[in-house]
Amino acid sequence: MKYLFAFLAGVVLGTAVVLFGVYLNPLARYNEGPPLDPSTEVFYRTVTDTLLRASSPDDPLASVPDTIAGLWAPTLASTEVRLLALQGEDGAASGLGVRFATLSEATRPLTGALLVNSVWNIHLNDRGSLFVDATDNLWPFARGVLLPAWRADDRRWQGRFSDALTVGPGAAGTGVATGSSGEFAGVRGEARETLAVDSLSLGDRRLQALGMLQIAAGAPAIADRRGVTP
Amino acid sequence: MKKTFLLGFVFGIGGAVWLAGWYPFVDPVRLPSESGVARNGGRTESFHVGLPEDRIARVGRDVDPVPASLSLPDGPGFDDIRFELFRLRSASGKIVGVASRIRRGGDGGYTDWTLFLPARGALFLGSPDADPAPYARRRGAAPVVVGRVLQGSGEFSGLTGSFREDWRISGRDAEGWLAGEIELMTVTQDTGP
Repeated sequence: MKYLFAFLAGVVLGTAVVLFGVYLNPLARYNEGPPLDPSTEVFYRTVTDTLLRASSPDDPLASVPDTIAGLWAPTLASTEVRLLALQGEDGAASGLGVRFATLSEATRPLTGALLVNSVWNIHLNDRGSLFVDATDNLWPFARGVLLPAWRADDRRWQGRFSDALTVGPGAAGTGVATGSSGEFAGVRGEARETLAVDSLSLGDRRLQALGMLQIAAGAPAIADRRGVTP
Repeated sequence: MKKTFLLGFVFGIGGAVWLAGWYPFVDPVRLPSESGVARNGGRTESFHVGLPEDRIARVGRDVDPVPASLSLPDGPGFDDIRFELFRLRSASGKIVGVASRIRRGGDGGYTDWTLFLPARGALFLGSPDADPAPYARRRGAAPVVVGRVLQGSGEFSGLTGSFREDWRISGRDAEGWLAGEIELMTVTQDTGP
């Protein structure tokens, strides 16, 4: 019996060493990428600018409005949809953004990759619309905000945490922007989302943060779709 | 006993490394694709929205919002815009994702669809058509919206092509909501990312 206890103690200690190493991994502290030269910047506040938020029932954040139907199907697990009012650099309302996100199969804690596949459809007043395909890494957020809130007695974290979310799928760690209409029709480009978090309350299921989406739109890459006959 | 402890320690490290590095913590429910082959090449796949049961949300100046407390920001820039959010079904009626439809009216109007299938990726659809009342089209009439598949992500990455949006409304249910379905037929080809 004492050999069994010795073996189990070794397993527990070995597991703890790896988990501690994964948690402290200094190479996965922030999502860093080369600077982007954006042609468009939009901002949103997670509390005041979220017009709608729907997610699967086990989601740690609250639905908005609270009467909205949940995404209850098994194929929609770990998925959220948000409708956000977007603001320009001057703080004026500039449009709407729909953001879809789901946990990625490529998530690997060993390499500090808590990955989320996210997609934006952005509509800017008097300018047009575009889509953004991005891969986000929430590991720095989880390490810097979520875990401290989970460990706190009042299940709340307050402070200042700022980091890029986007780490792909572009080679430079940027998302891919595809224009749809207006001045963005036919345009391809890059995009990056960053999040500056002020507080997270797991008890109230409320995240207070400022999000920023930068878009560097390039030259038209596809033909004007108005001439296409499906 | 020291050797047994060390053996357990190595087992613990190995198991934890395997869990953290290779265990599929995220394993979404994946239903088989119900795509077909187009006669002139490429692939076809249709997606469906049942009305009213698949509507999650709707908001615009000209419609009653769902849920009732949903509203758009103030300002003229939001007068011509309508947002709708649906559960998305495959051709056989299984829920495979969620989809948003945003229509902007007025000069330069357009309709954008985002089809988001968590286990597979997303399709981005855009059209210069912006019919303000697609449900009013008669059965058998021309498609409400035709446009392009602009890009995709995940499994749909590199796909472009065309799409057609049809509303097949059979009437209204007991509560007065439109009853029927929306069909989105996509025809795509792989043109590279």
